[in-house]
Amino acid sequence: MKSSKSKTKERLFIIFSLLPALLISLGIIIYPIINTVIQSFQDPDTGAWTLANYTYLFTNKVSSSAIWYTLYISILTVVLSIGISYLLALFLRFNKSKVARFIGNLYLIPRFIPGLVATYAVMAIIRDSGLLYRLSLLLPQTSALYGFKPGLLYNTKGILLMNLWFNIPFATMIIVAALSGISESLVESARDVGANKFQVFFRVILPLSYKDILIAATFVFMSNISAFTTPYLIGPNFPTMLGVFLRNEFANRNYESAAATSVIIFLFSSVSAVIYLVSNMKEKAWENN
Amino acid sequence: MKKLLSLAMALLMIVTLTACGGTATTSRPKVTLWATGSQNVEDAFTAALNVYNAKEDRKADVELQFILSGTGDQSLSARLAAAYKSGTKNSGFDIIAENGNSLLSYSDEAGSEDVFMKIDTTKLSNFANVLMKPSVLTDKLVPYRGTTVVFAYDSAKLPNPPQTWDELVSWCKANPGKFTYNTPDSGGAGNAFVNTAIYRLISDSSARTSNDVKWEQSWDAGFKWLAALHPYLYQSGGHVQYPVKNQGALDLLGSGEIWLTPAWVDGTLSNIKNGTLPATVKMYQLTDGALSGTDVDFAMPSIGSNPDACYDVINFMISVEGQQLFVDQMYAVPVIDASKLQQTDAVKAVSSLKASDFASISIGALNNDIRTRWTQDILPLAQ
Repeated sequence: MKSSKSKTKERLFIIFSLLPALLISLGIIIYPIINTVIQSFQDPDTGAWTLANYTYLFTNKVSSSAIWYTLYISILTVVLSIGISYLLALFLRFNKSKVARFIGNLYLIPRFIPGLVATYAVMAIIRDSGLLYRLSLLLPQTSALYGFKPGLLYNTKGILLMNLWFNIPFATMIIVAALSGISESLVESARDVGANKFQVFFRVILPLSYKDILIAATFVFMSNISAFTTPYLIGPNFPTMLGVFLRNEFANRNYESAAATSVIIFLFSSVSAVIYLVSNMKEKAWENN
Repeated sequence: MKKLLSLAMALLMIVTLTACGGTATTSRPKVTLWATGSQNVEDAFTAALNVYNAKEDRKADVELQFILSGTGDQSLSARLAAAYKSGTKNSGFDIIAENGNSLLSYSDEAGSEDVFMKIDTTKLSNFANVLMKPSVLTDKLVPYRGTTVVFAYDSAKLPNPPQTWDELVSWCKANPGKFTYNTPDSGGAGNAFVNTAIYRLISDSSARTSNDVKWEQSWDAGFKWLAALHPYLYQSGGHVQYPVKNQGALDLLGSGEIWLTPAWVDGTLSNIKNGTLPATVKMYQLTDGALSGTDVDFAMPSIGSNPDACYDVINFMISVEGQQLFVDQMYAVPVIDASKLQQTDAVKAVSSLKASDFASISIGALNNDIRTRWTQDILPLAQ
């Protein structure tokens, strides 16, 4: 039995050891965030309190199109990458062939390649003077594919290609882990009572893996809403994504507008985080009952 | 016992951390030189400072703080302005090396030209050799090299490039997709092209060195011209695409997708030397309006430290030895008489460019407004 004196000593010691980390995170993380939020409400010339930075972002053609385009690309990336990842994860989990095992060893490789290197590598292949074009020059001149320009760079297709390259391995990894938690006996017992493959999927596999799909979707959405490198190098000039727009505002020394853009990006990310948290808590209630 | 040990460890860590913060005392004062630019500028400074820091009779130990362009280099002016406004002494900004027209926007952001101290030329024994005069803040800047934006073209594909601005427009219409310039806020080459295109249509030439907001009204003709040129520029994926960063435009030139583009002279020469541009690439200016160039200067902030040591560093950079290093390393245009230098290949390559001939556009903070307006007016056309 600890005396109350030594308990207080222990508590003090814990606080004392945690204090440096707390102070550092307050100083480096919390304080700048509060500073940015305050700056986003300030007028650039007078420093007075104003909503003009936000109304500008939503009414100006360049910035409002950046907001819609960012949401469009992020949602499209989430839908496509989760869809493809789920099919890939099902294949890896339930198929026992050599091909499946081979893919199972390969699909994580993109995670090990730094983002910038990967982006430049893909650009070298798909750009109009890149590998695909030069290969097409080997064909006879009369061929329909001679001088083939992919037209994939500097538009939505290029950004989506790069996003899928980055996000499919990550999402697949999460979903495969979730599917591994579904034991074979569950599937077998469902087949025993006469369920066909579709019914097994919709009534056994999907409900049990639904939560992890949501986790993967949240992470994919959050990482794409603030993406910078890919749209900067591969994306179109207009409409551009919020990460690139933020960089341009900062480069042109419009610091208050940049602060407002940061806050908006942060709000989008928190929306997806809230969706994840709420659905997570709902699940717990269901499981408890 | 365990608790005592961990408390002792914590105390030891705190003591070591504070000890690390202390400065080692040497006989020479430490000078911090801040510079921005592309990679070739950093390499040149590193080479020059290696030579300087090895000299026995030097008055300072110089540390280089270099910020690559496009990686937040505009934060340097914000930090200097913040340090000046808060009244910091010995701020660690001892020497700033920047384009002359940028230094004007530094003083705009700090709110006063007193952010830089007046140069005492009696302390610079090599100052008499400097032929170039700064375009702005004339008593506060010491030029150490010149640089200019030129038109770079591949002579293998384009043996006879257009010679005037009107010829440029008709050439673009006859050869769509073979000319482009990078977005102004990502690189100085595109910025210079946009500024020159706008300011050559303003008849009052005093506008070129003025940061008076009234000139913003006169930009309309220039922006109309840029919008009219827009459809004939480089396209990819079905729409006009402006490359980002100076290097982005040079990459397109190197891959043969475009034949003509504005580019910095030192960047072009460095790329040719590296092999990323073919050896057939040549440079020229249009006869009725050269793209803007600038002196690149040293300035000494009034909130720095060790001014005498700083003078010694600057004196080295404008000496024959220092100038030779800059020309050889990065094809800088020297500010002293080129005939005093050893005639290496690099010196010969830049010999035709005289710093005093450079067309200068120094508009201070108005440059940000041009770039913002370009993003609003021209960029959305790219659809």
